[in-house]
Amino acid sequence: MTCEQFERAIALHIYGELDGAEAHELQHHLAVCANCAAQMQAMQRTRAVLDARPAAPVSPALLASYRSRLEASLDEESAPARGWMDLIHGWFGPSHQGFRYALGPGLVAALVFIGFLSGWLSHSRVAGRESAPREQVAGNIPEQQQTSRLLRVNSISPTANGLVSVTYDDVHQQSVEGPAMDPHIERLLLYAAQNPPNAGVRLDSIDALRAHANDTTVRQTMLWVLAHDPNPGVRLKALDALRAGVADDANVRAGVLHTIMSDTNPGVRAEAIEVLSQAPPDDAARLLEQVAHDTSNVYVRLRCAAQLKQLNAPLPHGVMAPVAPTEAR
Amino acid sequence: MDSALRAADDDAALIRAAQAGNRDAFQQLVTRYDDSVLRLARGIVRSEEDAWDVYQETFIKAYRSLGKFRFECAFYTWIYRIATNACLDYLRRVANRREVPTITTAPEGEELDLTDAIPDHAPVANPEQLLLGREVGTRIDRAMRRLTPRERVVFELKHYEGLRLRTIGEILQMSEETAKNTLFRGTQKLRTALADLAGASRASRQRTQLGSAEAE
Repeated sequence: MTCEQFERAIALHIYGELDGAEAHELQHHLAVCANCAAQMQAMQRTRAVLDARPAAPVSPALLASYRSRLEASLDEESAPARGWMDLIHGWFGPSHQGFRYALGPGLVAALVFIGFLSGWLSHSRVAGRESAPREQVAGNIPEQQQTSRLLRVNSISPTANGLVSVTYDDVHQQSVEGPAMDPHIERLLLYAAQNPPNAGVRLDSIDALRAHANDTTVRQTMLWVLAHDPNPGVRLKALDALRAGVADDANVRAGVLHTIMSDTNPGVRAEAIEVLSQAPPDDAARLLEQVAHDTSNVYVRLRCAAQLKQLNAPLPHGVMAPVAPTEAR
Repeated sequence: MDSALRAADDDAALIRAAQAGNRDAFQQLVTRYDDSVLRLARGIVRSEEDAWDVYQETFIKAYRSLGKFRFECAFYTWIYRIATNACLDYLRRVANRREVPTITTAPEGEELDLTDAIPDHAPVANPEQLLLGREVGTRIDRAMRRLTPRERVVFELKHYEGLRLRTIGEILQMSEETAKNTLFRGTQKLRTALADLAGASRASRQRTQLGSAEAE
């Protein structure tokens, strides 16, 4: 590296942006180059001067007045444009490439109903928060701050003693270790499950959460992942975590049903059909019959027929019993 | 606090509720991030009224565009992106206004910025700051004007907000390498502009050290 290049390294070093090897190289150079050592001192002095700039304080009173002015401005705005179809799409997919199949009228009605149901559920969740006493929310601020500046979860790994270790970035890199359902760690895991770009981290977060998939929040997150994650491996993992919920949770059945109809990956669809067949026999048979009747995809229809056969349910009209399931697309 | 309530605390749950039209959820998102946005705005625009404009523009834009937020980045990155764009727009507007030069040369040959005569409305916390901070603050503000809008924003996010350059790159949609180069160029300009103050601070430190050595 030339002295000119070290000049750039000095500026980055002052702000802690050199990695270990670069910092080592710089230190080595500074020990032998008086000119660059002087540059380093000059840069440190400039930084000290810049630190002396008086900050314009952001007082709670100022923030409160801005919030109230903002609220008045927002009153003049209309709500974010979002129609009922958007709500259904937002909750259930479509997973990235749009609905691939024309939905039959029965399923459209079911999805609309489920859309309203989930909209109502999410509304009541928020409404529950609205009615929470102010003190409770205010008393929670330190906990909120722990994740409110969260930018990225970098890695998740189980420890030998059954805990989870998470490294993440807020403004700086952080790491934390504890049980998966510790509030702070659970937040990190839920965040990691829903945030690109690293599919490996999303898989690890689902692994860490799957033992707690009967928890409402974890289950909702798994449903979101199943409908939205771009990676089929991650969607399969979420589907597997939801397996236990199919028996007792209509929301889970709706999510799995949507996956059967609209997921772009045949492996995920096949797994979803298998998972759905674990619903109570009557429900499973009814839903599979409906899918087999409404889908235009031969492969999905055959897999449904195979599952219906295992459930000893009659095949819907026009659906042939499969000889051997083969991938149709 | 039960897990459902914890979930409602999470950004993702709040965003989804706000996307469905829940104003209270949006207001909670504002409350989580507006101190950062306001601090950044005040650091860059250095005036109460302009900071309010940036703050308001940021959250109204966020409100209008929230339906398009697809969780492809952290909400924090997204809201900072809107805020930094508002700051960049402000800095460009100011730069255009400054097409009429305000820098002039005094009879003694010293370079003067006529806008320095305009009172600074940023509140001053105490009289000591008024005496010590004002001179330095004014000089720093003037030095900052030598930076391009992007250098200015990168510098502010790095030096005063303490963000990592990788994050700054994500916010400003530039590579980490570009963010590094931008920071370097900005610091070089500031170093040149503040060389005398930095030299003075060294001299005053040396005097202090000499004084304490004599006292011993």
